[in-house]
Amino acid sequence: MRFSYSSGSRPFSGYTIKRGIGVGGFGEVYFALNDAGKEVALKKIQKNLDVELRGVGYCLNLKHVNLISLWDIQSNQYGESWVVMEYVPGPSLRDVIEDTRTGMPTDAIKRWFTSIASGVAYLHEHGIVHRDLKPGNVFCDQDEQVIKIGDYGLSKFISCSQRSGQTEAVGTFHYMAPEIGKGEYGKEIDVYAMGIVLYEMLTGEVPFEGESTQEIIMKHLMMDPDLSNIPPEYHRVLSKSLRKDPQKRYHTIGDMVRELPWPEIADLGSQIVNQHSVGPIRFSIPPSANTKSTAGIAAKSSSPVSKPADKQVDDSSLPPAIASQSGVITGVINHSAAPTVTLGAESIGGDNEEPMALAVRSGLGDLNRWWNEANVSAPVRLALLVVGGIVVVQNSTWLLAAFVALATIYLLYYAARRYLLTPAQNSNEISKANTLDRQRIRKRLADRPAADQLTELTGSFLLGAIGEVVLSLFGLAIGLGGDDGLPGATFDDPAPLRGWAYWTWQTLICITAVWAVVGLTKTWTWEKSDFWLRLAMLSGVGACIGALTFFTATTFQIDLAQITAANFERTRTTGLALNGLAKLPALAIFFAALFVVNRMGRHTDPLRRTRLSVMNVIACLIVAAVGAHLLSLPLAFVCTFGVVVSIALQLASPWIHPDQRITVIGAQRG
Amino acid sequence: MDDFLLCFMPLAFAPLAQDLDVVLRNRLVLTTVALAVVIACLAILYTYLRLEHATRGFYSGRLQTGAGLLGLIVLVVAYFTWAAVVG
Repeated sequence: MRFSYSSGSRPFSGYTIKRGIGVGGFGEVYFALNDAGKEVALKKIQKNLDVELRGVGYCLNLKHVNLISLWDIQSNQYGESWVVMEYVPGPSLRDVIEDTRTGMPTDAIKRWFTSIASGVAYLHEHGIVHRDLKPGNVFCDQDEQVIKIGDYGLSKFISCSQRSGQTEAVGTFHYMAPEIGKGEYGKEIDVYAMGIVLYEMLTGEVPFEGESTQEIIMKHLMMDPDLSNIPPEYHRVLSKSLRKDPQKRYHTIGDMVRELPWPEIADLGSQIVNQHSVGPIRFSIPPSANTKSTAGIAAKSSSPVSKPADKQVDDSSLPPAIASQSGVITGVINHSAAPTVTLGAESIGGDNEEPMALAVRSGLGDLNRWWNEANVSAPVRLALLVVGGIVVVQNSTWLLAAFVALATIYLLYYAARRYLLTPAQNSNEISKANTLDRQRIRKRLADRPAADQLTELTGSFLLGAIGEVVLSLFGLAIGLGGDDGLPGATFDDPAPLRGWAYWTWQTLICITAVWAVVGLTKTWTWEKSDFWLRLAMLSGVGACIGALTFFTATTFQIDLAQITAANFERTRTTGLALNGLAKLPALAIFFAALFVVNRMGRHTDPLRRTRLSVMNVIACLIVAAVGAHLLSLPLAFVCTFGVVVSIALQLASPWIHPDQRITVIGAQRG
Repeated sequence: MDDFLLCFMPLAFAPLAQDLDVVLRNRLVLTTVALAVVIACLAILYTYLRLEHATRGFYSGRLQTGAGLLGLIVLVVAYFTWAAVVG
């Protein structure tokens, strides 16, 4: 795509272009900065100048949270006219629909649709018809978490050009009401376009598709939309909004909203027009519940509020992940009446939250708040930190012992509570619901474009490799393992080459293991089927890593027998490790068992409970230590391997926060 | 004996103890440089893919050219680094 202006150009005084964003029927769009550093979007109007400028002029003073603000019109010495407007960083509704493909989740549809409805209702209230409403013109401002409609002042020419079949974007025909062909531009064409947008959000497809523009237009004129794959509760609103005769459609956005199958929004009716200043949706969390799920949008306020700060729920009560997903306009999302099943996460309701962990977390949170809010000067804080650090270091011996003892007791208690005391109430239903949701999420993840998946995989490889190198350098720097007989693992060693060789060898093995597991599990999208096949594949990868370990040890002159004997201070003989020598079968079996027992695939699962599970790391350490004893393998090496690979795998693999699994991935459909 | 040959020579053929050290040193240099090249190439590929996605394909040609040039530079620098250390 070619742009008239390159990065760094100044088309007129005060603004510097950074990059081109897009080209539409009206002209080019650029991302630019003004001299003060403010980010703006610049539109260069190339066609139908007078008409477009008049349209923009009408809209310059419109202010609505769901409309992209138009700030100024500028001209330069070449006679070019530019519109200076708000820059919205974030995906368009088109991107979101394409990402979800088979339809968006209900709560996301609510957010997007009510935001669009509010913005369009505001335009209608001011006598303006958008005329080019489509997903590509609706954007989510990721900074403010607000959905905004664009191109409302620039749409007349586009519509005219489409009518004559000269538009660059055939896709826009999909949203054109039939009467546009007769030159009728009433509010009903926006109602029609909103019906199409709603249909597309529900199904991922537009109702009237065709090979040519003529075919699409003919279908708009002649055919009724196919509602067979639409939930029945949407039939009425879609049928009426997509009527061929504009007089039989809803005459206002409020009428359309009133018949939506979302009671909490439908109650707004025409008042949605007045919701334009309420600002982003805020989520109210019932204080006694730890569960989160979708519910309706309950409009609590019908009166216009001047700014988003006048919200009804205190932000401090919101988890950041929830707050960051807040949508737009119409009021408060009320979770209190929500079902308690949480998507993907292992949450089984607030009652099952482990009380000790909850208390510790709460205490740490209070401490953190106190520390941040205490009226204490910086030098005093620093002094407190230093004194605290000295006290901890001086008492580290017994503190460490106490910590280990307490951690052991807690682990035993947690295991007993988890597996023995947890009531089985509703567990089957919850498990079923979670499994279904997880399957949907996995399917959606698998359906993503190949380029996205390749980017993710490359990022994981890169992060895994860098993490391994850093951890190995750390191990080399502190001389880890030097006392355990590792050859030259300290800087004081007369032959530092051996230490370098040892850590290079270990790094190579770890990186290979991380890449192999990440690459292997990247394609795993199923939930329960092929369980044994997956285990077999993991064990195969583990065996290969074992073989690689054996052969590369020779390459780097690592004496496995020496470091094994140094670890155990004995020459142990087992069937697989004769005379204490770590033979090829022993290594292959060990790594295969390590990968299978610890189910390394779970380390890379994007739907795992936490990004980095300490329990997984400890489990790897224990299995590695036990395996080293049973098979007479180098203890330090295999334990380091288990811990490092577990950490690197979890940090390098993508992870979706449980709170985002509904709204971002869209597993839950209405 | 030529250091380059020693780098690829099986250890069993290295006649002297100091030759073993040379072989090991050269292998370590080669491994480190190769690892650095792989990580750098991954970083270039990842950056390219992210930029390609962020710019929605508007600058595909330039990005591909830039990534290719960067990859070439990495390879050249890696070769000369390896040659300087081993040689």
